[in-house]
Amino acid sequence: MRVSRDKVNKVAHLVTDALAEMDDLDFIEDRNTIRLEVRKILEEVLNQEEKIDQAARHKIENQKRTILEGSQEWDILYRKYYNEEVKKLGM
Amino acid sequence: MDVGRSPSVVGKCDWLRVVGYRSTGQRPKTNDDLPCATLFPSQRSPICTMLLSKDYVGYLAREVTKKLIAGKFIETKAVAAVTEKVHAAILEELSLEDRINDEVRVILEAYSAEMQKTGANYQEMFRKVKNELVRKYKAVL
Repeated sequence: MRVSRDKVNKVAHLVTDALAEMDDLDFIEDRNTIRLEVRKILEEVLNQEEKIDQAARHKIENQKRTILEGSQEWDILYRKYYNEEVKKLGM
Repeated sequence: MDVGRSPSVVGKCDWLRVVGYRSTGQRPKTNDDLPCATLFPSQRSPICTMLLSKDYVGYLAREVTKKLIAGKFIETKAVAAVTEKVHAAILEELSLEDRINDEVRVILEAYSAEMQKTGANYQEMFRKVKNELVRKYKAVL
């Protein structure tokens, strides 16, 4: 799953604004270039997250019985498998 | 009516719910606690909510900071402080929907007796109030 493009844009804006407020930080590139780079990094990292999400979902789907998405059991298993995938990537 | 019921353990602990879309084209989840799943129709693929670990948000913040410095976009000696600032900004925005959902529940709880009397549909009311709040805060979900 992926965060919507609008949301990524909004986050990139907010991150850039937050960085601009900092005294002990210098912008080497102009603000818009930094915002675009932040957006690019967010998209890259969230793409990795999508793979983790898919792996966790795949594990749940491969259980012997069907576990309905949205159920508490599904949420618990999802978090468990998700964290396993995160650990595998050493994050 | 499930006004008093906790929306989900997920939104209350180390996970965030974020509106997104699945690139796999799977059908959206039908969790009754997540009426927001139908708020933002997309032409590309079904809208759904995703769970995002707060640990992952920390990783996201570290990567953004690291790559901005490595790519010589910014310069700083206070890497930890920058990471913390980036983390706070990302978390604030990504948890916005959880906060709006909480506010909707509080509002609907105040009207629960009236809603029960008139037979109002909770999901429908949830959706309407949420839409109002999204407009009010000019939120991007």
